Amino acid sequence: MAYYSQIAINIMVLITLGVSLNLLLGLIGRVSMAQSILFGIGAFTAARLALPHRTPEMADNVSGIGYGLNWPWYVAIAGAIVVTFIAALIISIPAVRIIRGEYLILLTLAFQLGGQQTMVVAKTATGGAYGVAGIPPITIGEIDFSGYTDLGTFHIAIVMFIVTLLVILIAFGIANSPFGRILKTLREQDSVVSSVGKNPVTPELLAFGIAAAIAGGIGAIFALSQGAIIPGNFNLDLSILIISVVVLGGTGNLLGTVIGAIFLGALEPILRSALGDSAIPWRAVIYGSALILMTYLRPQGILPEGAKLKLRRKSRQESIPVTQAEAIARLCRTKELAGFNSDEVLELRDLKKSFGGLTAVNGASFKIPRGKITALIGPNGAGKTTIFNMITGTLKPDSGQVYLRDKEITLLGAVKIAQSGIARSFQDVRLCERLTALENVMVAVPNQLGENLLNLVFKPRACRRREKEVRARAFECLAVLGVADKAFELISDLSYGDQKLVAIARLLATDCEVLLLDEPTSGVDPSNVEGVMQGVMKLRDIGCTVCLIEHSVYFVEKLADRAVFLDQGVVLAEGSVESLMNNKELSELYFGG
Amino acid sequence: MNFDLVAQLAISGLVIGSLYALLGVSFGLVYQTSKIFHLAGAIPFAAAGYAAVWAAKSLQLSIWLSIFIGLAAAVIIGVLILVLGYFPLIKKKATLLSLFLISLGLSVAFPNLLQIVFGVDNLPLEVYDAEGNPAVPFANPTYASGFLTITKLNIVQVVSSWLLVIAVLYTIKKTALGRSITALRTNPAMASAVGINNKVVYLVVFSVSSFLMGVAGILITLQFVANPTMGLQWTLIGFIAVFFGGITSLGGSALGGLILGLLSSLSGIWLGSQYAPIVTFAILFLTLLIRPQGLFGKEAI
Amino acid sequence: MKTTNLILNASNINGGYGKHQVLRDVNINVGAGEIVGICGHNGAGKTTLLKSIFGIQPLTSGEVVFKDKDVTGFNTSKVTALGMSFTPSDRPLFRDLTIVENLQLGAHIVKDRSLIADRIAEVMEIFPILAERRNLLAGRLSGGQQRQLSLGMALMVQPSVMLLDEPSLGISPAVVEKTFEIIKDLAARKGMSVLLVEQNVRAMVKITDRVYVLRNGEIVLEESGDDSRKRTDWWQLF
Repeated sequence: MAYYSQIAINIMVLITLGVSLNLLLGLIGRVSMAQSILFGIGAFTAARLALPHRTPEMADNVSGIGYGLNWPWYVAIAGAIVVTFIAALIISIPAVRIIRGEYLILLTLAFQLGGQQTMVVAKTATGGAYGVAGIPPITIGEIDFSGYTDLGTFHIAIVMFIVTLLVILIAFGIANSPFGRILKTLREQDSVVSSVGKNPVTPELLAFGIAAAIAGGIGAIFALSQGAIIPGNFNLDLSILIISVVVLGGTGNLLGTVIGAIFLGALEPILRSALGDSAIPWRAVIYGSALILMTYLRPQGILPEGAKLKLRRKSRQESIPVTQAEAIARLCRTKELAGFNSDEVLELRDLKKSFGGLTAVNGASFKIPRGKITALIGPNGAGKTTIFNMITGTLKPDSGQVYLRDKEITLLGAVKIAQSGIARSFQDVRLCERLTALENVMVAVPNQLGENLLNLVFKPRACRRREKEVRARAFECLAVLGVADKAFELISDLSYGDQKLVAIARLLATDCEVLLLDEPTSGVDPSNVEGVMQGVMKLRDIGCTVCLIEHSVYFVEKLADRAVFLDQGVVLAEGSVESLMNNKELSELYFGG
Repeated sequence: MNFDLVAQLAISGLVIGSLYALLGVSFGLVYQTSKIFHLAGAIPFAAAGYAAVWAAKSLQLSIWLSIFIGLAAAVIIGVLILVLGYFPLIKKKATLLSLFLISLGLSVAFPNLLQIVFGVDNLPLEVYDAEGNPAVPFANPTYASGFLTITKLNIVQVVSSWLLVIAVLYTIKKTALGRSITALRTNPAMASAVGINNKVVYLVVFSVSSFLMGVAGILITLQFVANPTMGLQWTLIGFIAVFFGGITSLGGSALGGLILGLLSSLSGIWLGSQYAPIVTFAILFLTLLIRPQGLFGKEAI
Repeated sequence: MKTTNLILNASNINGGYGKHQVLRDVNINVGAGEIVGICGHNGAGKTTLLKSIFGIQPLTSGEVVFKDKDVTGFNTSKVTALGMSFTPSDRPLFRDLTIVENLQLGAHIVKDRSLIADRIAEVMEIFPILAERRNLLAGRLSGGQQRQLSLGMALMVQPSVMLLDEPSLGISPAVVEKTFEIIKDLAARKGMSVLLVEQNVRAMVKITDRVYVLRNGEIVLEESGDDSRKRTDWWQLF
């Protein structure tokens, strides 16, 4: 009985640790090699908090073992959660600057191995290699939670079951919240989050913190239920096992993680009954091999992320709640901004930028009129994209200013600039392939309560209400561009032309007044180009100010009301597209003399 | 401050730093050329130690033959990891994350396989006489001057590490093969335009890197013992040397390794020697925080 | 405009990056000794077309025939060995290596050392500036000199067809014309064909025998060099 309860406990520990890692690997696509040590930090913290005070009988030579602050078990668990949360934030400090790929792997790996070593060395805290024993169990009334009795172990298993459900629920809630949507967007398209005016740093830090806190909390329960822990419990192999669980099950899929954990967790007792003590290395060989085989054969895991979604879509075709005409009427903003008199919404004054010795933009000044489509044209290297980057704050100009409605926005930074009313699209759509068109657009809607975790916890109703509005708004944006019928399709299933339209819909959803489009028609199938051009013109129809970079003069002629001709970072001419094309000098510049 | 202590720590820092430099160059080569986070580099390291121990014990070979077999095993297994492990995924244009997961799977499976085959015990590299009695392979006298001591093996470690490091750097600078490596590393698009076959370059790079790992593995086994998990910590230090020294230059990786060794050893002035690994990780943490491009790296692109 | 001796023929080329289709049923050919230009707006697919022909960029469909041999899907070392060279527009050399080393790498597929030495001497005769600075790092050369070095690297394999991607990129306008003259001169001297992608249309048509215009991945025009030199209005094609 105790035997099976203990197996169940081990499996559930693995499930929860897998779920915690899935928040990182699944939601934001970041690998952490340190989940095991965080689990251990939680365990030792709880142990030290819960152990009884030192008594005179405790000999000095076993100074590390057996005493602590004598706090109740629930305070010990809470303490473990707080400590691991803070530990994770500390690891994330350098990670905020360079949180990508191999740097993060190295950093978390070093934290794991450094932590292991510290645990062995820091004898006063951990008792050294032999760990600490005598950790008091959880006590609720008269119920037995001792890890040393049959019934106690069974009760612990029940507690663990409840905790596991709770953890899964939390992870599910996060994954399906607006907060989770930002994480998923970070996973696939880093740059997009700030480009729609949302802060990308806090959600990422919080995700690291929460993943660590879950591991720490489980570590605390582990310590209290086992009664004795040693640093060896929290080695790198466990971190790798956790990664295997997530990869095996399918990154981003919680059910997959549960299945992966049950499979790998049940392996040990099965092997142990067959092989005795050599079961442990065999298990490592098996999950190492499983990791390799899965990466080859089924990189998306047993249950891929969208699996559930596809089933749902088949069973229930949601109707489109809004027609294109209705959506256009609803989003029309001609009446807004009445107090603003000038016709020029955006003004650039003498912008300059050079890279190394190369001058990319050399004193560009021009104005963008309200409610019109303005095209930036010019030969390669004219500085068009650099100008876009400076307007949106992804590049800092060397000198010069950008004014939006007579307010200077030059050095506000990408997020603030987007919030003040300028958003951009990218040449290479930058949509999240594993999300639906609707979700991609929803990310961009401003003022979402549910992007703040505290609101999700304390104002769940208001969050849900707002989420409905956000969804409706996203639908309207898709409808304006004529792709509302694709709302529930995964981006990876859409044609490139439709993807471009969804990207424009996402831009529209930001509610920004000025929309910058980087090559909206490039790469679109000729049969779809017309549709994309219609879409861009719809933006003007509802009162947006559009500025676009387009290399094909053929399209510029059809699309734009006016054009600005740039060469080597200087404005050479502005005016109607026709007048520019009749200008002999410009033509010579463009095609060479 | 006790100068004898400082000098002694500097000497052990030089010894350990030389090995770190060797590991740094080994990983720098692989990482700069392929961008793979080759954690499985720990495998040739351990394979060399185990193969040498096995050859000396089971085949009763001489120490030099055993070392040769150890190095051969390192190169073979390193190339196998590339050919069977990485090539199929590179061909499928898989992400670097998948390549890392393969590496991770291998580096957890292999040491455990070693444990299953050879047991969990520490195995010393010893030679056996006709009656099967073990003996140390080399006499390892200690040279002392005042308070300072260094063993013969330590001298061998320093000299062979730097000879290999210099040989690799020279080859890269001066030979056609080295030029192809530099070409692929600095401008892969142009390298392919002039017809450089990146498979061939990868094979060379992995062989050399695995050979260096093998040498490090043998040198460590001679000093201590072979055990299943011996490779990982050293591998990680190789990586830290690369990122500490700067990922853009191989010479930087070598110097990074040396400085890392000296710093972690000299930290013994204030801390016990058991803190040395922790100091190493703290240095990495600070590097990533303050100077992510590394000590000798160019500004991040 | 009729070419009897086709040396390179790419037919029904389709290709791109994932969903993003860049080339749509493109057909182009190059005759022996001919200089053919490709122009079109940015993002029209010019560079992708060159890369597809050379085999760096995989095709979704279509075939490339070079010297009567189907080379579709060949790796670059094979194609180079058959006598095709490719010079990318961006960073067409190795900045951290010397000029001599760059030229040696240009001849990477040539194994005969004395042959390599001969060819280096020949290239240095054509571009004396390279001889003067033979041991300078390539990254230290001016834009125009770097272009000359990249042409020299291509010559190291004695190609029968040179693929050049925007040779005017990164060099001052005064040098552009000279560079094109050099290309024309080389082609005539060596009996080489050249397939040239260029943004600088007017400089390009001065030396081309035939011109293709790509728009959004499709060929919208093919005309003779004489016709293209007479053309005054290019806007409608871009």
